[in-house]
Amino acid sequence: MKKIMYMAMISVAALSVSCRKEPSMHDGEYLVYTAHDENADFSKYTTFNIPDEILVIGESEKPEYVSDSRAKAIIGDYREQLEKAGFQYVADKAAADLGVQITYTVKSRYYSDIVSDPYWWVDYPGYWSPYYWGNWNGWYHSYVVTYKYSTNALMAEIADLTAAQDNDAKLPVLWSSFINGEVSSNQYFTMVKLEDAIEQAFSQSPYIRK
Amino acid sequence: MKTRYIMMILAAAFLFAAADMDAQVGKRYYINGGWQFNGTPGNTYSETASGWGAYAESGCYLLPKLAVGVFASFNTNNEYVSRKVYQLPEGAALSTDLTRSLFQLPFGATLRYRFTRSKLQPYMEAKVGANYSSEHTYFSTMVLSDSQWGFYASPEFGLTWHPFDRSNFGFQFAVYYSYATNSSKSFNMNGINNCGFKLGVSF
Repeated sequence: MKKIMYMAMISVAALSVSCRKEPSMHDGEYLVYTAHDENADFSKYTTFNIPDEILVIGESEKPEYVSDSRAKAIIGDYREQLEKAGFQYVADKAAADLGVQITYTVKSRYYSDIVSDPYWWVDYPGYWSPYYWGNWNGWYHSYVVTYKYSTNALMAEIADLTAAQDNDAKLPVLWSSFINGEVSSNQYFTMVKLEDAIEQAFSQSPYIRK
Repeated sequence: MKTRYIMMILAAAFLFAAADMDAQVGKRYYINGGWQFNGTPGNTYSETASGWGAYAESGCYLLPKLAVGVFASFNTNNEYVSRKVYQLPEGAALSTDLTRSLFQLPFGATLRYRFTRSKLQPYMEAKVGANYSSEHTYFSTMVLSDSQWGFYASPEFGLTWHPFDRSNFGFQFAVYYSYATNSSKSFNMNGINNCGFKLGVSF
């Protein structure tokens, strides 16, 4: 009886210590993933356009387009990075060589998967339509996106608006970025971290140069 | 007649063993458990030393100085990697900090030889069994993981000390080395070396 008691005491003591110690160390900055078409030559493009709204996939089943101060700040960051890379912003999307679209997901039930063909926003309740940019019938990604994300992700894509347009043509996407991380309770810190992450997305994409 | 002699010899052996065990400090069994500090030298996945571990073992002395038993233990070794940019296939890139967490849970059989049968009992022990390991790479909002089983072998040197005359309660200290065959293709890990020490109680 004593043997059983001793064994039980030791077992309980050993198991009372959490078996696997999960780490708590993290620098608090956002994860930044980028992917691009390796055959794309960004130096042959000159102008770009960014919509003045961000597509937000949130609580409702329908996507919303947001243009509040935070959206404007984020759009401004992408514009600043592309201008630093030597490209020129044009207000008329019909005159632009490159189109930049920005999307933000709020809820964890919206996730992306590894997709190479055709769209990697399969089953999403909304996405940027290629018809927004012109007469293209769908999207074309030449590269595989090997990243999964869940909640609070900021995604941006650069599309080639100089590609041939017709009812069967697909709009090529040249570059994708995903910024993912925890949202701070302080909106200011969230925006600062997003700004740093957007800068990092372009920093690790040196091929985006005029 | 021959059978009778064999029976007499066996009876004498058992009586001798029983009498000898009654005279030793402690019982014919041992139960040990406590804290374990483990390092993973040369590990390509997580090379750290950590005190997040524990062990429990028990055995029975079949001979005055030789015992067989069982053991189980667990340890977590976490290695933090500060932020950097990883170049991925097909032109992709990932900027992140991460923590690699290696968890091991070996268990199996033990063979212990104690050098003395006094209050202070140095011993050497061999452990063999299975090892379950899992690897978790933590990013800010997601985790990549893998797990495997492997074979486990470990030599150990230690001592138990039972300072009280009227109680079987005592202390244990030991150092060990171990090797587990667990391998992960996902995380480029081929086998796990461990070394460390144990500090606990002994009954």
